[in-house]
Amino acid sequence: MALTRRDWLKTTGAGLASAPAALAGFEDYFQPAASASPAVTKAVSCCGICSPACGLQATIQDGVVRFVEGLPGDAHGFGRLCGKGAASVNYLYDPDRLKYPMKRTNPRKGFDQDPGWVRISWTEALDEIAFRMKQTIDNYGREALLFVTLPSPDLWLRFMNAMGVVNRVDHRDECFLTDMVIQRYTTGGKTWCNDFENSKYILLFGWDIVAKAKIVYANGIVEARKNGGKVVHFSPNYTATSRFANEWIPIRPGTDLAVALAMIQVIISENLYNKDFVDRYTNFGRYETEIRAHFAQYTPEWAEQISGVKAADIRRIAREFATQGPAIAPAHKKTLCANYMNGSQLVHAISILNILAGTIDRPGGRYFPRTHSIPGVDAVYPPPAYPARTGRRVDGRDRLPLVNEVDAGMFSTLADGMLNKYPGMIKFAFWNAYTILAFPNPRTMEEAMKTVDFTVVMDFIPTDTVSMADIVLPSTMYLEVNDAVARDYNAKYPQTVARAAISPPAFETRSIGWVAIELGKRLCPDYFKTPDGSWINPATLLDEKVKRAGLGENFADFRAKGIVETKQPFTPRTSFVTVSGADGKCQIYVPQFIARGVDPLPKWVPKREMPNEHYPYYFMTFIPAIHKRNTTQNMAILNEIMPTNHAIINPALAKKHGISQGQKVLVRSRAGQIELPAHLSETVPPDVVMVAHGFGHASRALSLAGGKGARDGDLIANPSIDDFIKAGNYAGSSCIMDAVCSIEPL
Amino acid sequence: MSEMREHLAQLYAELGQALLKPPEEQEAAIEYYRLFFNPQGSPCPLWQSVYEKEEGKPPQLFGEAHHRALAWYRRYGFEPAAKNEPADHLGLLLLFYAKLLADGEPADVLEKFEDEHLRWAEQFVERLRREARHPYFQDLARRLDENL
Repeated sequence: MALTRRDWLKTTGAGLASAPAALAGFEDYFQPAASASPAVTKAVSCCGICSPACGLQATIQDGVVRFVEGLPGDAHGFGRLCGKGAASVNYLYDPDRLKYPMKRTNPRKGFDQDPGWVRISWTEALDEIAFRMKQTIDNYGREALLFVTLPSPDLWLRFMNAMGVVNRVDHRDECFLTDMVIQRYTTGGKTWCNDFENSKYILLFGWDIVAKAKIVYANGIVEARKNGGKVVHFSPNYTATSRFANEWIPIRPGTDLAVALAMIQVIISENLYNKDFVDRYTNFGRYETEIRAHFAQYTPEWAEQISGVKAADIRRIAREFATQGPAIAPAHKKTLCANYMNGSQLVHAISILNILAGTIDRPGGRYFPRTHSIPGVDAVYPPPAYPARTGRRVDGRDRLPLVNEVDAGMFSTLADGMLNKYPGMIKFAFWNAYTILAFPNPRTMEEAMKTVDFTVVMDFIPTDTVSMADIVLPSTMYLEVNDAVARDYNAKYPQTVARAAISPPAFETRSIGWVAIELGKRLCPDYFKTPDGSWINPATLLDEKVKRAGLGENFADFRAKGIVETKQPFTPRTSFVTVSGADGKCQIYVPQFIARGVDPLPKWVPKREMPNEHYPYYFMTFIPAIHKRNTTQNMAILNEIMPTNHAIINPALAKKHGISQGQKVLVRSRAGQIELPAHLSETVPPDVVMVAHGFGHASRALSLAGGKGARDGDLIANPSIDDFIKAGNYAGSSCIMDAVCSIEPL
Repeated sequence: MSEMREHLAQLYAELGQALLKPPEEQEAAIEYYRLFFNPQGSPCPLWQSVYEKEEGKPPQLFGEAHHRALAWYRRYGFEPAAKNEPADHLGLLLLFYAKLLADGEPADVLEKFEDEHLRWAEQFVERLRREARHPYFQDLARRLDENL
């Protein structure tokens, strides 16, 4: 403290002042206190880190959330939250959070440029965005708009539909797109529901279910073991699930398809399938000749050559799977569905295994969620007809007709489309809660972003994408918004949970639904009016949804209940696939595929890249239990637990290259190279280099995660739509770890 | 109010406001946002909670210092006008300190507020001194350093 003031304070003593003087500026920043309410209260809501929406209860002091914990008795979280959910407050009050709308003043873009950010009002931001969108459409057509966002919430989708947006892309080709596409034709639809606790045989192709850390699944698989169920885990590396399983079967990376095809061959040739289910509810009888002839080639001996799994084990596990059920072979997100070029074929094969087990929508199997029917905005306020979405798909997705039908993807081919197929086509881009770390070979996505005239980024925290933005919009997060979430992970009976704004939106953050309405007012007003001519109001809309779904009189009434559960007996489905020609049956052979140039039965396709003289090792990636993809690395507690990634290699491989524990190594692929420390572990085979996804955020953006670790994606070459078509990858498995690499010490 | 007291009240009110709003001049305004509200990571966060790491807890917004500052303001019948923002913004703290001075609060009260809410600012000033590129903020860092 300054001497002058200290000395002065000592000499003045107490209470010598006369009447208070007016202090210039004070009233601009302070106002009379409305109320002093330091009371501690509790509130119920649900987690939004991932989709199961586990129930949570929050302890709130004076409007500030102090901590969150699991909601006792909840059927999804079982009274617990995972590490990510428990750290929600870190996310909410992250000092790095985006706080106000900002605008770039330096027109030069690049990671080496200072954008010269200044704060602008929301009105100014929205006016400019609307102007730029209109200008883009007028000059270049609707195809020149790119929206990098999920098609939700419904208000946001309505806006994009009203604007006739052709190019909306999302990450689902890197996640569960193959399952969305294929289950539609084989079992009736993608489902997140796996009845593990009633299953007697759980067959996991690669899915590290325990470390995935979804409580709903982890709880299910633990219950299965308690109930005498058997867990078999195929995986190249030894994982938490391998340790938990009854059997861990090591397998060569990217060859699960060979094992799955051979298991089908065993079950069919030995007639071990669930005859009652298969006869009544599938098209096996109709295509029996074709099916038997097709799979005859895939013997366990053939699969052993490819996968390294002993033929005797494949045969035994196939027999056990078919006869010791109820059995289930789940397909899940990153593992299986999107890893390799043969992901489409693999997901079809896994779907057939479940059908042959006869457990589709049966106890112990994959079942469809029983949910409350919550109307979307288009049901509450029917819109005028939407304009046709005419124009070219920049990611080339229109050449994969089955993917186009489900309107999801394609991050994996976006950069190739923007740089090579249709250079300069995209003039305006709106990024909502996605970072370039989510793309294969992110450097090419950086290059693609530079070709766009005007970019808007809306997010919670500063991502690497912000550096390319013209306008940055700060988003609310899940503890700051109201919603009704119909849960679909452990949904044997309908459960809808109130997502409650237990914290007011910090700073000037807003929801994407609110942005949709405000842009709608400026660009497509007819779509954002209610029948009485007033603007759609999100709170009124939510009240109406709640009322129509029978959840309560209005949202406040529903929120007071926290969760509405409609317990009812589980009645198995008797009708499944709804596409034309399926007659409501599950389809092993998919005749509708033929007209789209796709094989009606899964066939062997190798992964894209195999070890060779330049790149002798398989490259594998994983998402650590304590992080969610590339979004949680800056959450303080999670960062403390796992701040960075390593090149995980077997000690034998390390010895071969003279690499010691912790030594920095250079990992190279045909796409690029990364540097990171080595971690030696017996859990990975000697021909694999394994790196966790989610690290390598650019240095300036995030104070905790920035500059730590390396991007796994830098080693993954961009696929193109042509590659997918050539390889029979009709459902768009994005190859997020289909690469080979070399390693050397630094 | 004594002349010295008035002088100091105005000084701290001025320093507080320099942190609460950007300067008029464009280049200096850009520097204000780069330092304090950078959407690519701010080198000098303005909130006490970010610097005062509670035992076992990570630095975050709306921490203990926010609650303590709010309690001070309320004791005197005030609240920050910005509702959903942390109360431990250094600009608010300095402005409130100026108010205490202007209102003739006794030395022990002023010292208590300094102990609770101004001592941490050394860390902030050090960062500002290191990071500021524009003369306006280099000068502000110097003035804060001299008076805190």
